[in-house]
Amino acid sequence: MSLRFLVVDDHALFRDGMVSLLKAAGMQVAGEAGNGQEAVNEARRLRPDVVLMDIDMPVMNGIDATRQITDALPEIRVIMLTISQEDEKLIEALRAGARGYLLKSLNSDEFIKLLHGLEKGEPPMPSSITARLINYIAQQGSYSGAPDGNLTAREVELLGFLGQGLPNKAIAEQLGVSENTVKYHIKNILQKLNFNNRSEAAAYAVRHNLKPKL
Amino acid sequence: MDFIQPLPTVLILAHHSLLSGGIASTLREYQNVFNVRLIDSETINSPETIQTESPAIIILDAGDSDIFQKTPVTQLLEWAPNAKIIRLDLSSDRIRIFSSIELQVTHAVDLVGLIQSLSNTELNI
Repeated sequence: MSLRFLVVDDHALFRDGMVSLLKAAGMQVAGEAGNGQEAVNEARRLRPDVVLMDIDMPVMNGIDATRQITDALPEIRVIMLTISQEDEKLIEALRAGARGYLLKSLNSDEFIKLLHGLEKGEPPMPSSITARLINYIAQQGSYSGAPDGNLTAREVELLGFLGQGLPNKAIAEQLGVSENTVKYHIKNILQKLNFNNRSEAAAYAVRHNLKPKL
Repeated sequence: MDFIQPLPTVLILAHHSLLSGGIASTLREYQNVFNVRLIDSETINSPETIQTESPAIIILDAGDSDIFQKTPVTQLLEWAPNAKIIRLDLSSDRIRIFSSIELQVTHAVDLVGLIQSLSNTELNI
């Protein structure tokens, strides 16, 4: 018996595409919701097997909605489906009860393949996300008290690469993200540490003995 | 003798875009209206890759940033001058449509006349 899905995203065009993709792959779509509050209501009403949940939505975000759904209906598997690559959101979503984390940058074949794994009890999580999760957990201890400036775990990780003198492209490849994402993190690092350029950040990384965990 | 008009080709270029996969799937529900092709933008390395598809419409996801770095809209319009390019921007629920017009201009006066007609402005020269 195929799984029944509830598709939750505030962009109707994206929802339409997901519904079409799921149906074309032989899966059932129980319903749709445009924000977290609607998702909670529809999950109670429709009792789907799986909720595909966006994170950033109006009215109620996907993480709060996940917490409410999994508290009230623990048999429903909530899978985050988001553009967010921030480690904090990944961790927060899993703590809220999410059973998988998929990125909207997946291609449709990978996406469907990962969802088919659900039928065998495999949590849908691309290997790049799993690796980041392991890194994040592993780095929690070594991060404490190292750099100041309220850097996120990801930013500290990136500082380690800057200290090694790696260019953005190489860092992006190591982290499995786009160059634009690397630039975004570097901009935040410079702002938080009040540096003028990446050389200052690299020198800081060397001084603090920050090294990438490979 | 019956002449069968070929269906217009909608070419969706994507690399990191689930949105594009969803759009392709949705449009394939209209297979008697469009011929839908979803191509990994990373495989486009020459004009021929686009030209052999002879697309009427090219669809790009604004969030798929790698595409715009590798194959800018102007480049695509040079390769497929008759195509219209639709750029989907999910963040604002809008689309932007790009197309190109090629005209021969040999003298400055032709250019001035063209600018006048395009800008709909009387130039005081």
